[in-house]
Amino acid sequence: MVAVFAEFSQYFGNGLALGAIYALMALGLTLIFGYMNVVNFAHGEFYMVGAFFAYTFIVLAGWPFWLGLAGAALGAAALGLLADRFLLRALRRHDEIAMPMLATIGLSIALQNLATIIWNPVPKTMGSPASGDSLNLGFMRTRPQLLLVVALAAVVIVGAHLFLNRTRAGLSMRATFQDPAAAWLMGVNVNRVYGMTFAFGAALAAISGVLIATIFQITPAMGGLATAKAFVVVILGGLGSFPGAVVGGLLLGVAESLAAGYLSSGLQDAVGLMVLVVVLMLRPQGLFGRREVVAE
Amino acid sequence: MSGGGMSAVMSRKTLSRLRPLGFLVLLYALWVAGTKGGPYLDQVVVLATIYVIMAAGLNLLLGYSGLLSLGHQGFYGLGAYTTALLTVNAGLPMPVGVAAAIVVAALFGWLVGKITLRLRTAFFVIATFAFGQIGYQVALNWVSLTGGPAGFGQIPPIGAGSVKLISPEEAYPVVLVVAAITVYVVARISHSGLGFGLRAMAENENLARAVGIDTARGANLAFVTGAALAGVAGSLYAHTVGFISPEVFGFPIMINTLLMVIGGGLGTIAGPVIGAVAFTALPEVLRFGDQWRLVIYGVLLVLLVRFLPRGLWGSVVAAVRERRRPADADDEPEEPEPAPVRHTEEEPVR
Repeated sequence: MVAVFAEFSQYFGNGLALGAIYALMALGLTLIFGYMNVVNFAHGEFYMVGAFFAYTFIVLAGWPFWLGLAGAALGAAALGLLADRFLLRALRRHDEIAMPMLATIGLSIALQNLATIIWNPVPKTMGSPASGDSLNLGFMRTRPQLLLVVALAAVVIVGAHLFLNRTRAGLSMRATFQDPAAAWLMGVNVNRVYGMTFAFGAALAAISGVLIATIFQITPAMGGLATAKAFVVVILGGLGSFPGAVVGGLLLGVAESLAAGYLSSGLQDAVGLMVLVVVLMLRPQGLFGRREVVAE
Repeated sequence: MSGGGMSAVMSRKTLSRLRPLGFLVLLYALWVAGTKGGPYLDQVVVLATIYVIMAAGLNLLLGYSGLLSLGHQGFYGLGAYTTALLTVNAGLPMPVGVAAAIVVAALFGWLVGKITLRLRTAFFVIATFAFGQIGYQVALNWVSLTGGPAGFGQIPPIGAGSVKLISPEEAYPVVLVVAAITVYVVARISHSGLGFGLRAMAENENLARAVGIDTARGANLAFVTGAALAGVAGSLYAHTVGFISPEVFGFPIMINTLLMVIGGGLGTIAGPVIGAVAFTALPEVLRFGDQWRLVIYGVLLVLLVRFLPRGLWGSVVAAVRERRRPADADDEPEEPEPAPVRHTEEEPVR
């Protein structure tokens, strides 16, 4: 009985850490996809770039972890700003999803292969600032690396929530996506808000990339699967929903970890896709979404 | 069609006379390149022509009904594995394998369409994307059936009985004929009631329904036909290359096809054909770039979307139409307008 519980709590703990990372990544995507209506296939590449920026700053340049984390987030945000300014801004007037989406696919191919040239395809290990023996939390045992991931993700999620709801920038962001024309009339610089939103989403993806680098190996190709999972979480939680992204991310992480542990490790990446199909069939607006222009 | 100016009638007549000729020239050029170009070029042209079939199928769906499926490569993979399993494990002749591949792809197309076509806009995109990815995961993990990541080899070449078309130059005429038939059929469908119904649906689904067009049936038919054509393409790929792996379900195949359809010219007949040839050749041309090859490819894709959103052929068609318009404002366009791809903020359909 004790062994059974120990096994379960180990899978659950792993799943929670993985889920926290998914939640953070999906939070970025739900802003870009849900608010800006950009089906962003480069989202996983910002996550990958974040991981490699952190690897470069922390392992190669020897910066402290916190500085490396901030550097990775800012670097990805700058890339996001550039992508929005020179790629997406001109495509916004087309009022459709295919062209901006295709542009992000091009961006994703270019970034992934550029990263392969810069950092070469060999998997890299960054390590975690929190290492050591497993901790006893009373009800379960877990590794300190996982605790750090969950704690950091929680801090960033709360920070993002405060930014969106308590700052002037966050207010202009929400106003813009409710009614761009009205926001523009009220003196909001709509183009700047779009750029800021994309950069913010990219930074959130990058932070989740740094967190995954503290517990797993990283490769330039890691973005592809990450994009798919971010989409799964965003749809599962409900397009554009902040709590949906967080809860959906945690659910997916735990479900994957349990399926890999108890059923088969090959199933891990398929679980989310099957969940996605079921959600789209039964409740296409997601767990927290509003019923809008989803289905006929 | 009424009120056409003299010059417009002339140019339209010359255009429609030139069209079959252009088609024959393209066919001949492909035949020469695919059978007399040496083993390397032959192989590239075979692949390009298989992509013509695939792109024509996707164009029927995306170009006319405006429904953007990102799981189309799943039917390509299904076709490839179906014929591989039947010809290798069950020892059936190649034509039977291909026929079965078409049936299986169409059946799955019907099933997936039933589920996903209830959705619109980005939700349809993501749902079809998920189905494609599920196909990849199944091919990768159902090792006892598919061979898993190691792949599946020893697939017999195109042929029946004692006839075996092994080299690309021998197999190519068969592939080319299938592709030509495919393009012809898609062209016929696009000018049939179904094709016009799909266009009406892309323009305004509510209005199309109000005037009595069964848009659900039209979308289902387009989806199933597109799936069946992808099945044909996948099965021909399996028989010409002789080896398949889960990569036939891979997202890059989807991206390539999408690039060919949009980069060639959405909703035109010649566009996807030109796109398939151009964008199969492009990575080969970019070989000089060595490790920078795919970086350049990605950047070119971005530039294409940014500066040539109608695609190569689509831009030509639009330019011709633009030039004709001032002389004859109410002239009907020769090539139909490409379908606008749906936007989330459009009026809801219930």
